[in-house]
Amino acid sequence: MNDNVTITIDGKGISVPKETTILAAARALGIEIPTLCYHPKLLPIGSCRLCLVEIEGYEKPVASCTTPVVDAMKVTTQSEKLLALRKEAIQFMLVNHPLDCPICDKGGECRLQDLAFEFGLDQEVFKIAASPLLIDYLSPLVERNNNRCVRCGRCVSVCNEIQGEMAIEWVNHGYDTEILPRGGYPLNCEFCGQCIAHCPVGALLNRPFKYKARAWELEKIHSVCPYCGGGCAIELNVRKNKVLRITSSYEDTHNQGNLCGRGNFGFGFINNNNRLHSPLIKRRKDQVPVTWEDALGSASEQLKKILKSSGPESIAGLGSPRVSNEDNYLFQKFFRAVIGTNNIDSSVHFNYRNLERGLRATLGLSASSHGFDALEKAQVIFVLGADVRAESPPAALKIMKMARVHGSTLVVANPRKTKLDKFANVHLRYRPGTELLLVAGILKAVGEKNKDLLDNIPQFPVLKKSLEGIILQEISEVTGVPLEQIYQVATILAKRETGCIVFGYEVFTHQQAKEVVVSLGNLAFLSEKVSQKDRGLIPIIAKNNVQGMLDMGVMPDLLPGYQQFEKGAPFEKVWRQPIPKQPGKNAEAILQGILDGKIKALYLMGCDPLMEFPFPDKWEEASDKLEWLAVQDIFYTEVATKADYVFPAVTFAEKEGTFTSGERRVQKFFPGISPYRSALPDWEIIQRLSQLMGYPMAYAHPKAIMNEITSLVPQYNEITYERLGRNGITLSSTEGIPHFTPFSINKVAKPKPGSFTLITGTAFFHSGTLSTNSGLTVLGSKAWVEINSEDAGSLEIHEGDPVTISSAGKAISAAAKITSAVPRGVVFVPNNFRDVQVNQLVANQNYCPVEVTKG
Amino acid sequence: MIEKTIKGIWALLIGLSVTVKFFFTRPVTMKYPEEKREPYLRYRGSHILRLDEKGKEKCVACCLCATVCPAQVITIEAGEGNEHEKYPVTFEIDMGKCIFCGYCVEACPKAAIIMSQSYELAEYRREDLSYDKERLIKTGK
Ligand code: SF4
Ligand code: SF4
Ligand code: SF4
Ligand code: SF4
Ligand code: SF4
Ligand code: FES
Repeated sequence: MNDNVTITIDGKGISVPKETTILAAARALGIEIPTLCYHPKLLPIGSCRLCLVEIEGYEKPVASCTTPVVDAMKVTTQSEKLLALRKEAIQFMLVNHPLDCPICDKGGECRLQDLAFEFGLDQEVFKIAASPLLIDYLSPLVERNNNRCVRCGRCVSVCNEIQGEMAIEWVNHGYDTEILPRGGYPLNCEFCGQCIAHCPVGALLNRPFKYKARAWELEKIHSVCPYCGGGCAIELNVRKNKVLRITSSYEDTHNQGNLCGRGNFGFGFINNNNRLHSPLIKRRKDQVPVTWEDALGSASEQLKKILKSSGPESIAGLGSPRVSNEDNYLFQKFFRAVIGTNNIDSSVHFNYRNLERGLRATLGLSASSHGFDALEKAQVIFVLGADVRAESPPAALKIMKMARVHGSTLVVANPRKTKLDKFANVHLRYRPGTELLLVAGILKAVGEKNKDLLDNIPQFPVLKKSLEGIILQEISEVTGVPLEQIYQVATILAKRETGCIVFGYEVFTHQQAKEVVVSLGNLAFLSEKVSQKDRGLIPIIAKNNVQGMLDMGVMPDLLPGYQQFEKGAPFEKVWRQPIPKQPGKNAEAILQGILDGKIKALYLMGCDPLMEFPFPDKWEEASDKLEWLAVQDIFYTEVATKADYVFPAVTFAEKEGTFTSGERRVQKFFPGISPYRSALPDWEIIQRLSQLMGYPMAYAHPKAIMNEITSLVPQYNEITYERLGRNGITLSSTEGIPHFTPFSINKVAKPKPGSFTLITGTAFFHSGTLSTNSGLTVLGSKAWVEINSEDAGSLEIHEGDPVTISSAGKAISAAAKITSAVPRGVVFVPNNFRDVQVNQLVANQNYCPVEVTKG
Repeated sequence: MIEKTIKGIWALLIGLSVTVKFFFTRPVTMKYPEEKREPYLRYRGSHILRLDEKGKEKCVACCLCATVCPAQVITIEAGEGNEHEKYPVTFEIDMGKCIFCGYCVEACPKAAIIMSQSYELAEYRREDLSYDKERLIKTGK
């Protein structure tokens, strides 16, 4: 190839592509050049001068990390002169560096320490009276000690290039150079903790970890982050049976060592002292601690009685997208094989369940069409109804990088401003609840613009029919998106470049969620046809094991692997038990069933309907009505207060198993610490209960359960427990052929001027209610109301004032946060906090019309 | 017969002379515990945690002593003090397992841990062999 150049390094020749740096070429040859500021993930910084090399014909040595190769270059990496220069560079770093190693948390994993040792520097050569700099004790979570800073600039780079946050900056020049938060202390940023992880010295400290352990005392155990569907590979840093810190390494993880604030700081729930530690039984009015034998013995006796008197249909269960695949698989097996009912569902019924339905109907997929790596090739990215940064940060990092570094065209459509807006070429601010209309409008616009092309596609009329009633002018009025913008997006999506369509929470909580997914499937297929380039359809999933739980069949209408009941023979054979052929009750029907007295027993695994489900008041009534209510959880949740039996479960850090991330990556995690007091893994509790119910289960290890799963669930056939390495295996989801699919659109009325719509979603620092039991509460533990500054002005609401939001006789109240992130007529309340139950108002959507008053 | 007797008495006298000689030399044993031996200066007895001029422990909980200890008998939990300084919240040495090698003293970058000359370390209960921070500081007073 002509693009290659040949150079000689230390007498060894190598041919490399043109833009390669000398450092990269040397590393390819296996030649080590010392570095400090260089990080393979970041653009070269060139600040530390350690990587100096000599080039024949050049007067002065150059930094190898920033200098690209030139043909026939002759490079020397080791010489007396270079050694002296490198030593000098380190000595300069040590001028003001305090002798803090004994108390510095970085000691033992510090690059400067290693370098001083490697170069045998044990004396300070340059002596200057040090003028101590301010240490930042004000900011939460991140502590900056600029006395220890070597001005390498990695923190600034990672915050800018990877996080797109630009929260810290260089100030002053020369000897006085410092790095400070933009806008001064305290730091006000997204607290991802990335700067801490990338600081080569101890200038940035992880505050919750401060002074907790020395680096060499920590044992690192491979695990998977339990928060979002991104499924970042992490390491539990354990000392004396306590998880003290979370890290992730660049070298061996699919997330390249990037973590968000939840991953970095949100693990406090593991070591939380409020965890359930003993089984409880309700005796008369009070719940008393008992042994596992008593709790499970009594629970199984009572359950058997109900089974005998009222039949299997009087029993139901709700699972959780937070627990492992093995736990979820056993949970549904318990209901189908042991009890004999399909009455099993989860919180996902109200949102992500429609994903598979919609994708299968159009693209013949059972999950995301591509992994997140498709985002790294996408030249066109359309994000609809997702706050990607909050719902799944790894996807957001990839999208930001494409938009900023690789110049991809980014379209962001959301009712409120999200972080991605900053990097978007086009943003559409549509009215809450009009996603389907918007997509239909875009489909129509694409159709109009590419008439000639589309008429040749035999299947197109199917779609055309669905779009018949659509008038773009009307769509523009109801959605609030200008007509030109709809056309603009249609043009962008028709570009002859590979692209991705990304969608999230707003879509899944839409009144017609399945139809929106179907319409997006059509859009992906149509724009693929028009652009003749690949179009990925990528859902953003905000909870870690939603995909896995659905794959495991925790739903009333399908068996594991989305198999119909008629095809249940292999299950019956392995389970040695006939399974019911009638679909069971879904979450809503279970509620109704309890209220009607038809369902008498409810088993909740990691599920709190009082917090997570719509109509919490009805669930409260229902939980009082039940004859048998068992709650299996790590915390004493709202619903646990009403339980007849409470079973303490362990967290992901205390057990082994697998999670399936939003991109369908199946990953293994390992226990870092022993179970908290008498808590047990979920699968083991289910197994013991089922033995007592008279159905034998004898899995010695989660591996045995996974083996059963891989034999019965077709999508998981390709994996074995042993083969899942550090980064797991991403499963394919193709099960059919893509085709246009008709969909129907419900009418959406135009809102009256002056009225308000409430929308809800996840607060960035939190994920579900799990994180509200962790160190992240320092960033806020109470809900708030985001309101547009103009609306606030006309209602005379000031920052922090209490605001009441009411709808249909119900009301919630929280402090006002005045912002331009929500448009006029819209208020946003996060749904992660116990103090404000926004579910009471929005029911099973994510928006509703409300009245807003001060006070 | 007579010759034999004389030889016997002679041998007896030799033996007795050794005994009698010791009547007039100084004894090598001591009347312990009434009398106590002064150990040599480099003797390694139980540990002392030293205090600085302000009366605070010099130890900064760097854990180097605990790391180097071949018997693994030092337990330290660090904490953050009022002025953000690092200090040992707990500092324990299990004297029952210590081999008095003195490595901990050598490792300490702050000269915070030294060894006293105290060797009377017997206890009635095993638990009492574990010295906590207060006791290690008191040893030095
Ligand atoms: S925590 Fe994250 S956002 Fe905040 S300064 Fe560090 S890198 Fe930037
Ligand atoms: S704080 Fe750390 S990463 Fe940032 S410039 Fe200083 S030494 Fe480098
Ligand atoms: S919450 Fe998501 S992005 Fe953050 S560390 Fe966990 S998996 Fe990664
Ligand atoms: S003297 Fe030796 S064995 Fe005893 S505590 Fe010190 S290092 Fe450990
Ligand atoms: S080595 Fe010295 S300063 Fe460090 S913990 Fe031990 S006694 Fe304290
Ligand atoms: S590594 Fe090249 S200048 Fe720092």
